[in-house]
Amino acid sequence: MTPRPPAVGRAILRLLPSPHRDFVTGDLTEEYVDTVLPERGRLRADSWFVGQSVRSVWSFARYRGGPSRSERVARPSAREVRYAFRGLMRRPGHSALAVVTLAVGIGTATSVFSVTDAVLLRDVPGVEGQEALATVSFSHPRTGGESPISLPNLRDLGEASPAVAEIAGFTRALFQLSIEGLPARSGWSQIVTGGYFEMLGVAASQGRLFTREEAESMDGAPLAVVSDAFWRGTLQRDPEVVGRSLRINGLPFTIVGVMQPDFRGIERLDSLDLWVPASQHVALRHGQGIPGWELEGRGAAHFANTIIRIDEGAQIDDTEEQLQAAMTNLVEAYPDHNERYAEAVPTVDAGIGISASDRSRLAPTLQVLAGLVVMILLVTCANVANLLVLRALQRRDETVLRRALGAARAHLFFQNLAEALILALPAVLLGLMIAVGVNGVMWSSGLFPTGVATHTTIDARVFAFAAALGILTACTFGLLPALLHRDAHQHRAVQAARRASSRSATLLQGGLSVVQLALSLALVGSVLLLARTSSNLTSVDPGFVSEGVVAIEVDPGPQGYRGEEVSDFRAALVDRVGSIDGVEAVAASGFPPFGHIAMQLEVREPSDPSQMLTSRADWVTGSFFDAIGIGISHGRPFTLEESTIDAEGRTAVVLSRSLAERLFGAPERAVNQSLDVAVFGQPMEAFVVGVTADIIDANLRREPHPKMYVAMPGSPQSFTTLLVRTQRPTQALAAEVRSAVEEIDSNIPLGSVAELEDLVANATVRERTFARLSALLAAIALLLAGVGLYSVVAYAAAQRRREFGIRLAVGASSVGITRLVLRHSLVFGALGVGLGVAVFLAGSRLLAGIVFGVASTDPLTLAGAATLLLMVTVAASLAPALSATRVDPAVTLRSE
Amino acid sequence: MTTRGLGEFEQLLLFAVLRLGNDAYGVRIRQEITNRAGKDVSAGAVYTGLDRLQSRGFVSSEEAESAPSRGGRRRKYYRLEPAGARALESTYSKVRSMAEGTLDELRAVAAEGKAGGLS
Repeated sequence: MTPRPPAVGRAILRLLPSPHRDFVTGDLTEEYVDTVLPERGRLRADSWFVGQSVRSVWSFARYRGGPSRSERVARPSAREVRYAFRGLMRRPGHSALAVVTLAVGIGTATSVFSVTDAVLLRDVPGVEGQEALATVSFSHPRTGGESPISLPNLRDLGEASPAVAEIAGFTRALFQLSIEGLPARSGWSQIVTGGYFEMLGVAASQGRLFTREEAESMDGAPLAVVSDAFWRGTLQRDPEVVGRSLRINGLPFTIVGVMQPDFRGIERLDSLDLWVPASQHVALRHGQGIPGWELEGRGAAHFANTIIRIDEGAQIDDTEEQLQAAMTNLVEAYPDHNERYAEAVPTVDAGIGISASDRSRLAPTLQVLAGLVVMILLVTCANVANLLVLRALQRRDETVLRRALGAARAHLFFQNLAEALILALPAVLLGLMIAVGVNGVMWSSGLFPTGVATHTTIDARVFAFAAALGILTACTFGLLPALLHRDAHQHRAVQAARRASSRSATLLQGGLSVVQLALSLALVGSVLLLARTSSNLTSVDPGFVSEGVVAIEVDPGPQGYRGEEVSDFRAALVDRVGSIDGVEAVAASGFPPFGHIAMQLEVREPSDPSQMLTSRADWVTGSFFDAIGIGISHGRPFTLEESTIDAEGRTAVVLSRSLAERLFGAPERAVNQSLDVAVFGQPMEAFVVGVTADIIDANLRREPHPKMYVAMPGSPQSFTTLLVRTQRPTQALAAEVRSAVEEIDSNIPLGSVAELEDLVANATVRERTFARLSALLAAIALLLAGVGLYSVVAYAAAQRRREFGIRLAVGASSVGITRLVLRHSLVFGALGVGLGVAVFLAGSRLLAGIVFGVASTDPLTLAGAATLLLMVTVAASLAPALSATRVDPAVTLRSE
Repeated sequence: MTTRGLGEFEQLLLFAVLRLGNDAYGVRIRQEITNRAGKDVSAGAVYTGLDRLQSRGFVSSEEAESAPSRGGRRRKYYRLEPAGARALESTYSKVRSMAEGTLDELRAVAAEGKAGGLS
């Protein structure tokens, strides 16, 4: 068989005026078959043919002259644009809807993909050669807990591993900052070892960064490098910033430089205020003289996260192997200090930009959101396509007439093109505005952790892609009808052409509606799942009373309080706050429910001493159990006075019910038992005084963790949260607590104040925001699908007016006519639902990690979405169906 | 019919029709221009150009039988008319007499421009 040139090219050639069309098509076909195809192969021959077709049409479009006036093809002119504009204004509502919805599609897709790019994909600004960078974590295979590294270990690991070209350590910390003449504030900073800046290839824009010597030497000076944002904001662009002093956690530091403006930290969401040398780590934490808090020596503080530059040519696997071997050597050489790494396994995570925990939390959300906006974009494109096809159908008579009067094919072609562009271009502009708006909403929506850098910029490439997709859709479907009616000028075939082109166009329109319905079903299904997830999570009972409890953070540590000083401060504060009017109960907690961090410890199982069990832990005062209403079911709570450490040196603890059952079989058997506990690897002998209820303290999706409450004085940290139960307004209470703190030490600031109820609600903010955002998207999709379907059904019904008239004349009932119309639309509805279910099931895997309390393929949800879709189908076709029954048979027949 | 001269593309078209003689139809004309003049033109441009020349009486055309690889579509053969030959001769001889003896210098100046552009 003779090979045929590509259909696209042949379709384009049909735009040529008829006397030339055959010759040009013939020539190109002949050359394609005889010369180009054998010489260049299929792909290049096809593209040659299409290119020639486009250029040929273009030649004719520009051609004035020729033998026959009626076949003259004129240049596209302002007239076509005017016609197109007038045509669209005849249906202003539908045209505006198409513009607005296409803009919504382009805007939401742009902003969601920009955010995804900013969070997950983009290079970290300012960092050089980041493809060779990697973070290393040493994690315990059983507990999953990660161990930071000490400075001496860091150096040894780097030296012993040839695959590691460079190694550095860093840790992030929130410090209290005060600068003379400015109000005190807290700020995120990174404590970094020598070589950190060199590895990243960052430089100072003013002054200098600190050297390796300064970063690591024991007697290094207290230096700080501030971020560009900190310099511009807090320091108000002070031109003499270098050499200025500031206090960090109460200690004097000297600013030596300002970081280059684009570098904000090694995570994309970072927005650090300053960098300080590792040499200051111990001082900043007020850890001088405390065992395990030195910088140097084998007992040095294990504080650093590890970042490496992998040697050229080395693989991740090699690197992990070498680090594992190096760590094994370190454990053998210094068993006293490195015992914690005995079982640790190094994981090299290629690339920087997002922490593993952020990635696991944000990636699924963004993936689902991206999937939803892609569907929205497709629905809006389908909607524009539908509108343009409908426009062309309505204009068919006009087209036939103009062709009969000698209007050139290219004129009509350009009119269609103009129409498509008139819809698409404003949509692109509006889309850009929507993208900027949605971008702002997303960054402030609670989807992201607070305190991250808010990138309000949208990505130009993403926008260009979404805009191009919108314009391409508009042009394709604007021009398709022109090709469908290519023969409409042959008047002997006018009637046949009308029927043929209307059939193919209706099929096209119907197909578009089916796609819209299918995507809407998938969207509605997703939204129902997200809404159920949100409502399921909100109704989870965490097991404690959060209403009327205010959580107030306070930390005497940065002011140098240590050991018993901290205990005394806390005891004094609890005492003072307890005597404030209207306070019903007050407790102190180290790691409160739904707080920033959780704490774990290990317990030796009494029945099998070889087994260590991991449990959550909190250090609390005895009033804790009353303050959050969980009480003590067996035994008693510890009291503040009764030193919680008994005569035998044992620490009083209260077990959660599940932990008591796990360790002793039944809660009542746990009371007055002793337990071997390890906190941070340090042994502690515990004595169980009571058992309390289980609570969910962080993740509402999980079952309660077994938890051990340890008497407050032994707390490993100075950071404290007061839990105050009161009926008084939060702000009034906060003011009184503030003065209570000041009475004890006026240098200690009050940290954040929040209602416990809000903290619990915050845990589901992502789900609720997500459900709301996607509900909005689904509502748009559903509206568009309805409008699209309405136009198809209404048009098809209008085409059959004559048939309905005859049917009514020969005695058909109006119910019968209604049924005819409805049957037509329900076919589309059913196809849409069928396809939609398939799309939904294919995409449900994405939702599996997000839904809670409902399966991602939940049949009830699917049935609900399908019912909603069919209701929209019926609603969209009801008006056309009713108008069909009002056809007057006499009028219809007379017009024939 | 008209005294307007011929453009470059029109000259190429007329020479191609002349060279091809009895074989002067779309595909050959396009290939002749591409191969000899190194100018890649579209099939559409060949027809609009010839159409314009025909309306000025410079060429005439005749429709003839098809080849299987054209899918049954006819070919259109063109022939150079005396008016066309006169117009082409007049235009070309003007160019030639102006060009006479300057070709070496022309190339030298063009090469200079190139070298200058690089420095």
